[in-house]
Amino acid sequence: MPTAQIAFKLAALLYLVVIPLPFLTSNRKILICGLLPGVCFNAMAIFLRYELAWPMVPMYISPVMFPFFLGLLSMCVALNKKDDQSLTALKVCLVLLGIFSLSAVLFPKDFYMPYWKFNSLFAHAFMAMGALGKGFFIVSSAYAVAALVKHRGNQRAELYGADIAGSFFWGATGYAVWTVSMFCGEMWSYLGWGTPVVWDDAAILTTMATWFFYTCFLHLHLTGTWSVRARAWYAAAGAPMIYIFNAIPDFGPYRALF
Amino acid sequence: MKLAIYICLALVMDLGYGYLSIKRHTTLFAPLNDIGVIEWSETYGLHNLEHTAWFFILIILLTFLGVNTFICTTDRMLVLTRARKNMEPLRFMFSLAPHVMHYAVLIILSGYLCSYLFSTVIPMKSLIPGMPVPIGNSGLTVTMQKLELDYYTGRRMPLFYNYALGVQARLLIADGAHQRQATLGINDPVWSGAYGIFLKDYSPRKKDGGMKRASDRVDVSIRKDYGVYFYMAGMLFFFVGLLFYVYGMVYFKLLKKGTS
Repeated sequence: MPTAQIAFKLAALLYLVVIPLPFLTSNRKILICGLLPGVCFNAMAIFLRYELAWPMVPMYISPVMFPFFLGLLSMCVALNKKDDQSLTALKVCLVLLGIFSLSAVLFPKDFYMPYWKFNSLFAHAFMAMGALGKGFFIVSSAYAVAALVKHRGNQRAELYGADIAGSFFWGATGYAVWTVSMFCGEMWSYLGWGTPVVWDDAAILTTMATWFFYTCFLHLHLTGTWSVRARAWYAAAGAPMIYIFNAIPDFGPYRALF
Repeated sequence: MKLAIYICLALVMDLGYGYLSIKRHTTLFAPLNDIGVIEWSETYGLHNLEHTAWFFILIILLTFLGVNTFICTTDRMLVLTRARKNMEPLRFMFSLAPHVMHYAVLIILSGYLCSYLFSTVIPMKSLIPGMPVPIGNSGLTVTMQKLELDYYTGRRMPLFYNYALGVQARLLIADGAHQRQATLGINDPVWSGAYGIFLKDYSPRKKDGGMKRASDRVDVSIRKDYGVYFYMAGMLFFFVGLLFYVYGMVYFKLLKKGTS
């Protein structure tokens, strides 16, 4: 049985290997089968980390959990044959999946013992739903990039609006999941520390920043305040935003692969 | 609406800067957990503005957002209420959902304001078995009768072998003539009236560990915080509004598919 580190390195390698696949074929079954081994090894890594921590949440599990959910959501994108943007969105998803998982492998933070206060259902829900929410946001960003790539120079709003609907759906779903994650985090913080916001941990601020970013995203889309192209760029900016605000804070020191 | 968007963007940038500030100067912000925002401002906040200015900007931006949200939401609610007669009851309810969520955010922000302005915090009290401890001016006395520790003896987590992973502190809470028993645990606080008792630390962590003189001990923080009712209510309303909104979207999408 491999260790959690080895399982996750294998998962990251498989995610990187599968990046060229949608450029070579549009067969959905092949694409899903290509993603499956990486997702399985990722699931193994999560299981092995939890095995050493349960009933507590493993420290900094999010960088390992997030690629798993993004892999699963990428498979959902691959399944979506009706949407002509889905293949381009999948290409973007896989590139981002490779970047996020490689970053997590090169800058791990897996050397902390679990903390006794992390023994809470709310803590588990906070971590898992946060990772899932990030996955939805990345897919939303991918659909926005797909729309921008397809309609380079095309200012016909009615076509453009329909293409960005996919980005809105994924972003709105991610927003709902992220909000529930935040509420779970606040409940855990209140029950454990007596206050819903603990000012020792700076990560609460990046969580709130992401929430406000996507609050803005929803309002832009639902009110039509900016042009459709500007909204697409805003949605596309979600990916670097998630990387800067939610991935980098979880980075540890550089660790060589071998 | 444009104002709300620009406030949100400003909040993103301010919170991003705040992250860097807290990372580098945690000791300036940690006291916010235990003292009110006014006391914190008078001590740490205003005397370290180069590191804390973002926090004051955050308060200002949230105030603007709250006022803007209240005005816009109430304006739209009035329009919706007037149009209610021409709408199906179900469609009216689903149309209410975003406004419920907006008001819920205002209730949450009010809860935080109430907490940071009016709550009373006793940051640390140590309880040892049999010793009654008075809680400030509340008239309450807390006595820990017994500390039960659940030690991990499995092989799955070798680093935690013989570590106490479960804590149950049996408390006797006396309020003048009345007494009651309660159990304090990890992430499992005890409430007595308006006061919440939260477990901060315990000893011994390891079996046969700790100083022999006072080996059984729990450290607690005690809070009297009315704001918690507001933000719990706000979270509940937001969640209900969200469910209604999602349900409404799916319902009318299916309805449209069915009719077409």
